[in-house]
Amino acid sequence: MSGANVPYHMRQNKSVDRMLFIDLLTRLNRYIPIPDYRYVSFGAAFLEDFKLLHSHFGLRSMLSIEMDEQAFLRQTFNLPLRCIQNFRQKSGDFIDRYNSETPTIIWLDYASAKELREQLQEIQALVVKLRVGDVLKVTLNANPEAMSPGLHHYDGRQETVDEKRDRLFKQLDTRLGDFLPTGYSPDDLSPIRFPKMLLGASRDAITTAFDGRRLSEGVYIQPLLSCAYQDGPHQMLTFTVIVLRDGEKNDFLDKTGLNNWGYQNLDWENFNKISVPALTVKEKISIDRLLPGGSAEEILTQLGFNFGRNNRESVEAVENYKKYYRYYPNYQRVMF
Amino acid sequence: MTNKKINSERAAAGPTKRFFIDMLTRDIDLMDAILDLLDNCVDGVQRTRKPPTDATKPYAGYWAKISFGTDRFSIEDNCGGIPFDLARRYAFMMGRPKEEDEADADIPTVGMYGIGMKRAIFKMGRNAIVKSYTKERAFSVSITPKWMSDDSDWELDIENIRDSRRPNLGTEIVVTQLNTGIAQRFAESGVSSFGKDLYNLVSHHFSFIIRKGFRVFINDEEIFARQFSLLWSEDDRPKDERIEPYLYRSVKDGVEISMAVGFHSQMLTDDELDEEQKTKRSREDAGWTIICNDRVVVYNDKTRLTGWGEAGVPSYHSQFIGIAGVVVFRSNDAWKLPVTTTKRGVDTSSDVFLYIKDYMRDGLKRFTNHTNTWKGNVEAERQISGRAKPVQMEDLLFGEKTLDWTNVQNRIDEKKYVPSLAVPKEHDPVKIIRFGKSLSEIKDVAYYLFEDEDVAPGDVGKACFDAYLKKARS
Ligand SMILES: Nc1ncnc2c1ncn2[C@@H]1O[C@H](COP(=O)(O)OP(=O)(O)O)[C@@H](O)[C@H]1O
Ligand SMILES: [Mg+2]
Repeated sequence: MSGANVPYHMRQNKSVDRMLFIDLLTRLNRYIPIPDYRYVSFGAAFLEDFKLLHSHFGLRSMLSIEMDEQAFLRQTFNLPLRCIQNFRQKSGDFIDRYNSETPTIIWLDYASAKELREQLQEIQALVVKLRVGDVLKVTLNANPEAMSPGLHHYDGRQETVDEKRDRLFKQLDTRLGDFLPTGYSPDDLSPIRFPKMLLGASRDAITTAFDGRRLSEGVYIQPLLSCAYQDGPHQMLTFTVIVLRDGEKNDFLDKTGLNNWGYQNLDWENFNKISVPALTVKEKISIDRLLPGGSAEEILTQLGFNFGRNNRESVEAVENYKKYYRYYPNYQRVMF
Repeated sequence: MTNKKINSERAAAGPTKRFFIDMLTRDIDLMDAILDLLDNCVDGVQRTRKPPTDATKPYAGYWAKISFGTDRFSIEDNCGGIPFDLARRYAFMMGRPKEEDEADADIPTVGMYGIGMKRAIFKMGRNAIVKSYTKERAFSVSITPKWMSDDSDWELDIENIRDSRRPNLGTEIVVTQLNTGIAQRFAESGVSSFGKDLYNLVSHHFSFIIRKGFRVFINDEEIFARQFSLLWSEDDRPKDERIEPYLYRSVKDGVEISMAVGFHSQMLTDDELDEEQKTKRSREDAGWTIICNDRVVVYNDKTRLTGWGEAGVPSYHSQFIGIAGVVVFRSNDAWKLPVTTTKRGVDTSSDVFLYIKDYMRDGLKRFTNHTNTWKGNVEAERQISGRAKPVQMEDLLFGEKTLDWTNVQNRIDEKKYVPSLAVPKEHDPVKIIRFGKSLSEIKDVAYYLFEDEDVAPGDVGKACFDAYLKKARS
């Protein structure tokens, strides 16, 4: 699990993704008793998500899984709350043994792109064990190049983008096998399109694994929220689903109000594209004073400079900020 | 059968509708039932007898479109329609009368038992309409819930479609009042995996037909077929540095047979083999594919059915992941083909299949031996096989390339091509170095050498060795 030692509370996009998740849970809380849930996740050294869930909902049963020895020791050292137990275990072993009577929120926060197939198999093994009302969040590495990084050559020269996408697609095809969703081609291995393909692979893996239970028990997996975001050199995809009974959907949407939320993805097709600019405190304050309502032009005029290489990129950055500013992290310097 | 009155001296022995509707449909999988409908489209193309403009694409221009949802299933094609006479005589009968075999006697269809269309309809729902638009006329046949429960009525009305402005000559079948289990499976993708599963199944079983120009759509998404090719070294490579396929062709008892087996991909490196054993892929291009009259009936099989693990051939194992073979049977008389009634399996007792199986095993053994010979020396083998070029299935099976064929027992209509396969050079044999190190140590060295701690352990070991070899020889 590379990333285990990176201070990710400093990363604005990842932070927005996490705050959206908390907001989602707030809405789910109108339908299911989130404080009674158990939370399971890969907490790494910082256990940010554990702190957030505890402070927002007062969850008391929390498990963190970590396979790396050093990261585990560091995690143990840092455990911020008494109600967090941590285990030195691989996610696959945890899932193999998983058998819970307690309603559970699980976040499989995968980082490595190379183990995608194993990750999808783990997700499959887990979903068939989930109970009605359980919530699953998954993070996958959505950076196509991370599958086989480094310079590659073709006929003695550096390969072109098209050659690279052909090569990566072949690799994905062998690696994913039947998980490869239909209707995609090497062109879909661009950073912009790849998250959609991954979401399709996840959908297929999950629906295939769950079909038996769906037909025999009348339950299904409802997607709730999906996000793609840039995190340093990596693009990540997250999606959150819940297990519901057939015919429960309308009541669920009514009670949670998810239909009117504006960030929900109730099918496997769409996702939030989070790419907010990293802002100084001064920038943030000046922009926020024009929000909600201010136009990108207005904001850029007020600032007097561009964020990207050109005006178009700047407008995109500001538009994205306008969409997600409520979830933007506030950083403060802390002295101990 | 219309007379149901039972004579007091005779026992009732006629069929009931339930027998066909509830019983016969139990043994068939929903997907197979749908494949049966697609088979009918293809048989329709055969029946049009239009000589194709491109001989390699005899189905070009023809298509079938399947759509389904929780309230309805439909399949529509432009394959010429069900001829009126056929509809009148037997297309709607349960089972094909013997004399009707004559009807399609000189075209290579796959329909045999006269049950596919009806069984598929009964499997899915209680109400159906079949519309046929042929050159001569357009007509429709409705199968209603009432008819489906009436044991005395064994005929259906044919109605003329007057407004036949439909541009395509073809057939349309619509099934409604779906059975509960079926409607559930037809739920949208994202909820049900049915669409994806059907896509995969069709792309496997109709791969040959699709490659020959036929187009299939499922809920508006076009289905693409996977390539089948085998590696073949170019002519200028010497005999002991070659990778080639094993080929066989013959005509036996009215059945044309053609077979090819070899490497569709290179041998795996040790690290790839490790990964493969850890997370088995659910799709592998390895194994045997068997095709009867263009229809794939067995797809990538790796069991005893196709000769693995019997008579001296080892059982399938990831080491053999590069080995693939295809056998094509072709006959105008579908009864002679070694196919099971569901068209997803071979009839293992068929003489023609038992005969060919010897050659399948003979071919397999050469390639399993090859991987054994090169085990531990994969790098060198990959140098050789990396130069070989993929040759497409059509060329392997029917290509006219001049080859050094061997006639089997001097028969003129039976021959095989025995490949030359590379052998390791003996003067400087390769030995395997094997040792284990802890993951953290490997990562440290990997980071030192490549600035990437996730490099495959085998590559890390090799890089260490190469570095010292360079020192030793400088
Ligand atoms: N879409 C179609 N186009 C042309 N002919 C069709 C079509 N569907 C069914 N038929 C014909 O109707 C007849 C009955 O079909 P079926 O019940 O599948 O039995 P079988 O194909 O075994 O004879 C067959 O002769 C078949 O070729
Ligand atoms: Mg048929």
